[in-house]
Amino acid sequence: MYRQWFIILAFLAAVATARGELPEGATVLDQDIVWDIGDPDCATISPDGKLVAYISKGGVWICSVVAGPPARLADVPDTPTALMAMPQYREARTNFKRLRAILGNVVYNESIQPNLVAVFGLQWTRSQDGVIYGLSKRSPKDRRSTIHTLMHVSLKGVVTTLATIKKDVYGSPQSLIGFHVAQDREHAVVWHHTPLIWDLVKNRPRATCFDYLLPSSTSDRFLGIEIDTRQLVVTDEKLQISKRFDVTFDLGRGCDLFWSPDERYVIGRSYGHAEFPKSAWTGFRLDLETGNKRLMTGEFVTDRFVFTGLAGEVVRSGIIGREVDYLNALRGAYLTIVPDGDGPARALARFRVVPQPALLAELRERPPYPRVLHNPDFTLFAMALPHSSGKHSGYDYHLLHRDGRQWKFPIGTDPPYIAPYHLVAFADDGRTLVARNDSQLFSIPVEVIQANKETSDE
Amino acid sequence: MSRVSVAWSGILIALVVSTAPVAKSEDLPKSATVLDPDCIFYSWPYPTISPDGNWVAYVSKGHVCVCNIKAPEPLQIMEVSHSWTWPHFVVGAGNSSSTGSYPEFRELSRDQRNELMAQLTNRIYGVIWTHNSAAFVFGVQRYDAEKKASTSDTYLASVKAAVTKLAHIDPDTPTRGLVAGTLTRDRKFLVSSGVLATPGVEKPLLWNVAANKPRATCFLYLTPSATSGRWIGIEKDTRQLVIVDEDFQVTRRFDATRPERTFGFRLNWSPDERCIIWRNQVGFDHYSNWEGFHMNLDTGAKRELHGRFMDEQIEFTGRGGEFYRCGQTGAKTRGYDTVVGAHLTIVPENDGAAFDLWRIDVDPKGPKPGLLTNRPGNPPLRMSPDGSLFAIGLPRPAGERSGVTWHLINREGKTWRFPGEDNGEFVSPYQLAGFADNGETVIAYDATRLFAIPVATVKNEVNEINE
Repeated sequence: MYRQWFIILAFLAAVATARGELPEGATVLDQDIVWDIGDPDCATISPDGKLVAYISKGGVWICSVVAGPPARLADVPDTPTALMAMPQYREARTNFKRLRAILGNVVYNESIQPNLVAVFGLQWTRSQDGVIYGLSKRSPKDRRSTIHTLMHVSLKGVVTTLATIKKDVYGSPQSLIGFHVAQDREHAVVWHHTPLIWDLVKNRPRATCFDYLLPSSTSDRFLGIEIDTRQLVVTDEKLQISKRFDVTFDLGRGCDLFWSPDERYVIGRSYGHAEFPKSAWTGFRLDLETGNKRLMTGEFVTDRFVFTGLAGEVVRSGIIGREVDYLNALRGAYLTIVPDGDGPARALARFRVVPQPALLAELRERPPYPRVLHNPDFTLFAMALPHSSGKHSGYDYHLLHRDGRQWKFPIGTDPPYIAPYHLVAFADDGRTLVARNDSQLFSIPVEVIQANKETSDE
Repeated sequence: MSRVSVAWSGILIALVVSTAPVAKSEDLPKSATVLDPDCIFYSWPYPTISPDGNWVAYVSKGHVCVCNIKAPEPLQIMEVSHSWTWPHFVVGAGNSSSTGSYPEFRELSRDQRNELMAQLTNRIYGVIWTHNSAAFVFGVQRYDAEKKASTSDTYLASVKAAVTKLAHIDPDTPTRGLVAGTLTRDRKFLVSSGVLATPGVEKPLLWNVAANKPRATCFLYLTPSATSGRWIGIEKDTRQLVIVDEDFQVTRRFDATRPERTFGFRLNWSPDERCIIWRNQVGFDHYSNWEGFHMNLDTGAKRELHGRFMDEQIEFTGRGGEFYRCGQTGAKTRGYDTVVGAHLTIVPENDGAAFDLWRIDVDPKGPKPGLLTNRPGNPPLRMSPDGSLFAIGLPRPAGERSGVTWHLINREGKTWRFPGEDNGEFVSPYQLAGFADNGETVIAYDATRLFAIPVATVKNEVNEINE
C-alpha cells in the first residue's frame, strides 16, 4: 500500500518538476533563497542531522530539515548573495547563464564591488550551539592584503568575532579557504594548503611546525605532516605531536590526507603540481594501528574519499576529465567502494561519455558537475548521471544503493542541465534530502525517490 | 704520452695560467710568505680564514685543503674528483692531469665542452669554520648522470685533516637541500640556510647530525652569534624577531615583525649580541631597494635604515652597535635605480652622523669604473678583527681598464695600495681572502699561490695614496 502511495507521489513529483514547481512530497524550507552558485559549501547539515545552515540573501540562516520557516541568524552584508538579492537581479537568478555573467562582470568585479565580502567554511560547531563561518575582504588600506574574520553565531543569533587575520598575497598561507576552531575556543587552525595556528585568546598567530594539518571530524586532534621531516604525525588537542608514523612525504610534490572519523585510517596522496586538477597521484591507505598499507593511484587529484566507518572501507568518487571553468571538459565520473583490506574496489557507478552541448563555449553557461552525496550510514548515494535519453545535455540525479539498486529522480519533459533540482545533502539520519531550485530550499523524503521504479545500471 | 697529449697539455698549461678566473701575479710582494706554492683556484668556494685568524681553508686541485698561516704546511684533506679544480679531466686526446685544470670554454670545441661538462659532476660547498677554529664544514654534491640524481654529503674536517661525515642526503630523503652549514657548538646540529623557498628568501634547515635527519624548524631565518651558541632569527608564522638558545628554544621575543611581503631578508647581529641590523628587500631582484633598521635589543632604540641595493655589504665593526656600509651607491633616475657611485661608510651606534671613509661618484650616463660587487663568500670589503682597517677594491682611474685594485683604508681615511704590479685583471694585483693573525697579516692568492702579506709592509710610505 505504501509503495503504491509513493509511486503516485513520484509521478506527481515528475509532473510538478516539469512545471518548474516543487516535487510532490517536498516541504518548502525557505521559499525565497538566493544561493551562491559558486560555493558548494554554502550549506551544511547539523551534527544531529535535524537542521540546515546556509547562506542566502546576505545572511546566515538555519532551518529545520523537515519544515520551515527559516531563521536568519546573522547578516553577512556585501557578500555575493546580498548583492544578488537586489531586485534588479531577480530575473537573472533563475538563469544560470545570466547569473554567472552578472557574478563575473558585476559581483566579482573589484572595480565595481571594491568592498565585496566572501563567505567561506560555513560549519556547525560540534556541540551544535551555533555555526562558524569565515568572511574575507580586501583590506581598504592595502589592496594586496585580505582581511579574514572568523565568526560564530549562536542559535539565538548572538554574533561573536573569533579572530581577525590579515594575510598578504605574499604571505604563507597567502589566503584562507578553511579552518577548524577548537572546542575550547582557545585556538583555530586556518589554512590554504599551508596551515596557520591562530591563538584566539591573543588574536595572533602561533608558530607551527607543520606543512599540512587535517582536523579530525570527531575531535580536536589533527593529522599532519611535519615541516622539514615531512613525517606523518598525529597531534593532540594542543597541537603537540603525540604520535609519529613511519611515513614521509616527498617535499617536491603536493600532498593531502583523508582521515577516518575513528582516527584509525588515513589516505595519503602525493601528486605533481602541474596542471591541477589533472595531476595523477600516488598514495596509500594506512591502518595507523597495524601499519597495514594498501597502495592506491589515481588519474585526477580531484578524487575524493570518505571513510564509511566499516573498518578501513572508503567511498571513492571523482570526475574523469577536467572540470575547470571554461576548460570544462568533463568526460565522466565514478563512484566506487574500496573495501577494507586488499579486496577489489566495487564500482557503484561509472560513466565516461557525456552528452555535451555542441559548443564548448556553452559549457561555461552550465552549472558545474555536482559532488556525490551519501547518507550517514553509507547505504545510499545521490549521484548525477548523464541524461539517459540522450536528447538533453546534462545530468539526472540518481539514488544509488550500495547493494546495486538504483532509483532515478523523477524529471519532466524539459529537464534543466542538473535535473530535477540541485541536491544539498542528506539529513535527518538519511531519511530526508535537502535540495534547492533557483528560488526555494526544500526537503524531500528519500522514500519518495525510492518509490520510483528501480532502474538498472545504465 | 702521445704527441697529441703533449700538445694538449701545453695548451692547457697556457690557458690555465693565462685565462683562469684567478689570475697569476707577476711577482709576489717581497714581504709575502708563500703558504701554498702549488695551487689551482677557480672561483668559489673562496679561501676562508678561521675565526682565530690562524688557519685558512681552501679548495685547490680538486682537494679540500687547510694551511696554518704562521707555520705553513698545506694539508690536502679530501680529494673531490670531477670538481672544478680537479686536475684529471680528459678532453679529447688530452688530459689535465699534469696541468691542473681545464681550459676556458671559449678555447674548446662544442664537443669538447660537452665532454668536459659531462665529467664535471661534483661540486664543493662551504667552507664554514667552527667557532673554535678547530675544524670547518664543507659539503660535496655528487651528481649521478645515470640515475639523474644528486647526493649531498656534508663533512667536518679538523685542521689536523681528520674528516667526519655530518650528513648524507640522497634523492629519497624527503627534505630540503643541505650542503654545508653552521655546526652548533655542541656539534649536534648542522644549520643550513636551506634551499630558497622564495627567490632571495632563505629558510634554515636544522639537521640532526646523530640521527642523520632533519629536525622540524619553526624559523624563517637564523643567524648565529659570533660569540655564543645562541641564534637570532625570525619565527615562522608570527614572523617575530626572537633569540633562541643552543637547543633552538625561544628565550627572548622582540617587538619587531617581518612583513609578509619580502623578497629577501638579512639580519646582522653584533658580536656583543646587543644590536641588530634588519634589512627587508622590497623588490624582486638583488638590485632592489631595502628597508630596515638598526635596533638596540636592550633599549629598543631604533634607527631607520634604507638602501638602494640589497647586496650592499653591511657588518658590525665589533665596536658596540657601530657598523659599516659598503657597496654601490644608487639613485632613482628615469624611474629606476642606477649606480651613481660607491661608498664605504661608518655608521655610529646612536644617532650620530654617518661618515664616509671612501666614496666615489660616477656619471650614470658614462662608462662605469670597476666596482666590486658582493658575491656570497666574496664580499667587496674585508675588515680587520678590531675594525680599524679595511681592505677594499678601489676602481682604477677613469680612462683605464675597468677593474679594481686592492687598497687598505684606516679610520682616518688614510689609504695604501697593496703592493704588486697591476696584472690587468679585473681584480688586481691579486685576490684577498681576508685579515688573519689578529689583523697583522692579509691572506691573498693568485692563480697558483696562496700567500700572506704583513699589513705593516702594506702601510708604508711607498704604498700610501696621497690625494
